[in-house]
Amino acid sequence: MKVYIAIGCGGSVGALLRYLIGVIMPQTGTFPFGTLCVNIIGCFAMGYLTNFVKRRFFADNPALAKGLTTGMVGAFTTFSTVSLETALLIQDDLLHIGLLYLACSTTGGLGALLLGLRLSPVPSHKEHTI
Amino acid sequence: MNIIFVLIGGWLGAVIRYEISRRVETFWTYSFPLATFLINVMGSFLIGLVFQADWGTDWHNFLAVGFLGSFTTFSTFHLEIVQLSSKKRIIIAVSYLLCSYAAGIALALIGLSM
Repeated sequence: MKVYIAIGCGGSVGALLRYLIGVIMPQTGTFPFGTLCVNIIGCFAMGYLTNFVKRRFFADNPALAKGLTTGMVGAFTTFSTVSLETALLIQDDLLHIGLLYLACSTTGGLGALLLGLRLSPVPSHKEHTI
Repeated sequence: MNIIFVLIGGWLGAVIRYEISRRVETFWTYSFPLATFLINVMGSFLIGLVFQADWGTDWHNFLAVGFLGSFTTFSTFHLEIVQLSSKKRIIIAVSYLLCSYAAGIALALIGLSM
């Protein structure tokens, strides 16, 4: 039960942050910069948190770990908006911008995720076993 | 006021995504991330429908921004690609990436045209 509440709270916070970034960065032109920024920031956070939640503190609070990763970061980033924005670009005969958008999303997302994993301090063996 | 719709939609989207992936993982034992794939392509179809239906700002904030935005996920999708690649499952990683985009966009287009 605790895990559902944590994931629900995380999901609300993630969706709200994404909404606020959309308000701050209104779309200008055809390229969806707002969603691209959200997804790249979220991938960095997912990479960072993947190692971060291996700490002993989170082993005692598994619901909190799920709330942060699956809940908050999972909800902050979005795939459906990417599909919709690309579909709308295709409908407007802007397939090349759609393909550029997908290429930027995936290379940016993978790069940010790997950077997050690398920058995240891996918990020491000692901390694990105490 | 808009924020309330986003908050409720975001809550429901994340909880339902977790529940679906938990249930899929009980019977799906292959390395292809079926749960996230199904969630993302389903959400893409539904967002096309919602966008096409155009029920006004409140429904848009609740369903498109809140619920479907939170239900589908880009970060887990990319984390799974990195995990598959680090296990040398490159073909599965690339086909997961391409199938997700192709099916997601195709279903969003179908949703938009309904």
